[in-house]
Amino acid sequence: MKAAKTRREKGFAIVLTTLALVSTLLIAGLGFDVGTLYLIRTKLQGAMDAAALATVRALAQNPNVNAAKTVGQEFLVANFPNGYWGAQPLASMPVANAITVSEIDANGNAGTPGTTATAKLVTVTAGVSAPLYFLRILGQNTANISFTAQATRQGLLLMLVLDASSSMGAHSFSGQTACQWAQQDAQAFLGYPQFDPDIDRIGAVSFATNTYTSPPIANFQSPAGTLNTSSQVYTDLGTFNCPGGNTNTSEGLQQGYNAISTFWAGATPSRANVIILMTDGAPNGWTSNWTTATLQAGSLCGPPAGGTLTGMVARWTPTENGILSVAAAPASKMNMAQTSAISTNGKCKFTTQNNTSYWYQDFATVPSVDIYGDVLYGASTYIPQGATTIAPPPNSSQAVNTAVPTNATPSSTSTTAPIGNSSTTTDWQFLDFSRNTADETATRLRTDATYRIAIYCIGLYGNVNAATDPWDVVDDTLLNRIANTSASQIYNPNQPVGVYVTTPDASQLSSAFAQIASAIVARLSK
Amino acid sequence: MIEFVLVSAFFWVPLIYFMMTLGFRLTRSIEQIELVNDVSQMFARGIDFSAASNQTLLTGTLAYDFGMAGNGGNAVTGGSTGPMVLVLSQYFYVNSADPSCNGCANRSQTVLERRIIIGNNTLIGTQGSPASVGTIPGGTLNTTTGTCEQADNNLPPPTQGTPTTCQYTVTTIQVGSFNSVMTNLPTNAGANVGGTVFFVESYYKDLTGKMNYQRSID
Repeated sequence: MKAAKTRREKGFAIVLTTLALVSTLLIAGLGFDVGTLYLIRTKLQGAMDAAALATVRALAQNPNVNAAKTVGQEFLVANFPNGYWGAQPLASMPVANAITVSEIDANGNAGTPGTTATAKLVTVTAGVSAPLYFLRILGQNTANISFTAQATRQGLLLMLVLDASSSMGAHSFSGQTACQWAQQDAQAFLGYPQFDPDIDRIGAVSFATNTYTSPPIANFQSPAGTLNTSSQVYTDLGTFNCPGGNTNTSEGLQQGYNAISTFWAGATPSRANVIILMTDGAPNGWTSNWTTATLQAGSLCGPPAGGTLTGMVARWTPTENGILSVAAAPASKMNMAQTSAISTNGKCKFTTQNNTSYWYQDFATVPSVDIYGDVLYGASTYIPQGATTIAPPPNSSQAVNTAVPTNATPSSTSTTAPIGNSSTTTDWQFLDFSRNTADETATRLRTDATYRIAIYCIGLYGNVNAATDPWDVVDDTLLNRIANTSASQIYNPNQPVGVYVTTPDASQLSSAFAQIASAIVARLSK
Repeated sequence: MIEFVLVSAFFWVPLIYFMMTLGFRLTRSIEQIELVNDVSQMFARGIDFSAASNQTLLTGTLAYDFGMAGNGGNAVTGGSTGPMVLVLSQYFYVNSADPSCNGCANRSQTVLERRIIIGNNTLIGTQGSPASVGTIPGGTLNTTTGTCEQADNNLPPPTQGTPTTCQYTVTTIQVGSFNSVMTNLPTNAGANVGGTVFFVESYYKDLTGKMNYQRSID
C-alpha cells in the first residue's frame, strides 16, 4: 500500500506546476498587460489635457487657430513621447488632426464669431495602439486606447477705465503728456493679439470730474489680429483729452459697471467681466445727491425748482478757492473739457468764488453716502491713516478751519499728515471721502453676484510730485484693495482677484497694459 | 515534497516576487503620473506651492501614498529625507518684442524664473535620472517664493529699490539647454503659450531602491 501511494505522488509537483503554469501565466500576463495599458492610458490622458490647455493658452495669446493647434500638438507629443511603452499613434487618429477649435455660444451650441460666440472650444482627440506582450498567446497583439479632452478660452467683456484728470496733462515724458501716452497706448491695446474679436468685447470710459463711456464692441480688430482704426471705441479714444478736472475714481468704476450691465441687458453673463482702471493719482472726487434745502445762503447751486441735486463733486482748486462743483458734460466724447463755466447753464457751484466760509458751510451738507449708496464716512472700510473711522463733515455752525487751502498746504492746522481725519481739516476729509467711496464702489462691483467683475489696476507714477503733493499721489494701498490682490488689506480669494501694476512714468504705460493683458487672458483658459 | 520545495524555491517564489514587484511598480508609476499631472495643472493655474499650507496639502494628501516628507522649514529648496521629491519649475521665454524687455539682456532667451522643490532634494538627478534644467543663483533666489528677484532702483519712490522679478535682466538664469532637453518641444515653445511653460518633475525611490522619474509639462 505504502509503495503504491509513493508511486502515485511522484512528480505531483511537476504535474501541478505544469498545469498551473498556463493559467498562472495567463493571469500574470493579463495583469501585466492591463497594467501597462492603464499606465499608457494615464499618461495619454494627462498629455491630452496638457495639449488642450496649451492650445487654449496659445489662443489666449494669439487668436491664430493654426498656430495654436501646432502648439497643442507639440505639448501632446512632449508629454506623450512617440514609442512610450511601445505605443504608437493610431493611423486613423494622426496627431496632425488631433486638435479642433470651434466657437460656442452661451448654451454650448455652435456660435457665430463676432455675434453669438462667447467662447472658443478646443477638442483634442487622440489614440494610440499599445502593444500586448503576454496576451499574444490569445492572438491579440495590440490594444487601442483613445480619448477626447476639451478646454475653453472664455470670452471677455472688458472696459478700459482711464483717468483724464488735469494731472494727466500736466507733465511731458519723452515729448508727450501722460494723457497723450494714455490715448496712444489705449488705442494700441485694442490691437493686442491676446484679444479675440470673435468672442471678446472691449469698451472704454474716461473719467475726470465727469465721465464719458464708449460702449463695448466686437470689431475693435478686423479681421482678428488687425487693429480696426475705424471702430467706435478706437475713434472715441482718439478724442481722449485731459484739460482739467478731478479724479472721480468711484464714478469711473461705476460707469464701467454700467456699461457691462447695459451690455448684458438682463441676460446671464457668459463672458468674463473685467475692468482695467488706469489712474495717475489718488481719488479726489465723487458723485452725490444733495438736498438743495440744506444748501447755505449764498450758494449758487441748485435747480430753481429745488428738490435733489445730483452732481459730481470736485475738490477745491487753487484758482477757485473752496468750490464744490458739479461738472458739466464733456465737450465731446472723451474730451473732458467742460462746455462752459461751472456756475452757469444749469451747472452748479455751491459757493461764490473766493468765499471760503461758504465752502465749509456747504461741506457740512455732504451726505453720508454717495449717489450709489457707498458710504463716504463713518465706520468706513478704508482709512488711509489707519484710524477706525472717518469723521463726518463739521456742521456749519462748528468752528472750522477757515484758512484758504492751497495745493501745497492742505490745512493750517497741520501739515504733517497729508491725509487725515481731523474734523477741522475739511479738505483732508474730502480726500478721505473720495478714497473711501472708490474703495466701497470697487468692493460692490467685485461682490456683484451677477457680473462678478474682476478689476485690474495700473498706477501711473510721475505726474504727481510726491514730495510737494503727497496726498494726491497714486495710492498703492487703495489700488491693491480695488484689485483685490494678495497684497490687499481686504484680500478675499472668493472674490475676483485682479492684478495691480505700477509704471514709473507714462512713457512706459504700454508695458503695464501688456502685463495686464497677459494676466487677464491667462485666467480665461478652462 | 522535494519537488515541491524545489519548484517553489526556483519557480513559484521568484514568479510571485516578480509579479508583486512588477505590480507594485506599475501601480506606483501610474500614481506618480497622476500626481505630476495634477500638480502641474495646479501649478500652471496659479496654485502657490511655496506656501506651507499648499505643501502640506501635497505631502499629506496628494502624495501621501509615497511617504513623502516635507521641506522641514525650507520653503522652496527642499529637505533631505523621504523617498520622493517634486521639482516645480517655471520657464519663461523672453520675447524680444515684449515691452517689458525693451532690449533687455535676456531677450530671445528661455529663462528659469521660478523653482520650488518639495521633498528630498538629494534624489534629484541620481541613479541615472535627469537633473532639472537650470538654476536660480542664491543671490537672486527669493527663498520664500522661489522666484528670481533683485532690487529695482528704476522704480519711483516710495517703491524704489523694491525687489522685482529678474527674468529680463539676470543672465545666469538663462537655460540654453532647455530646448535640447525638451526634445519634443519646438524652439521657443514658451513664446507661444503666454511666455511661460510649467514643468513638474518627480523623483521617487521605490521599495526596491530603484529610481522612478516622471514629468509633466503644461
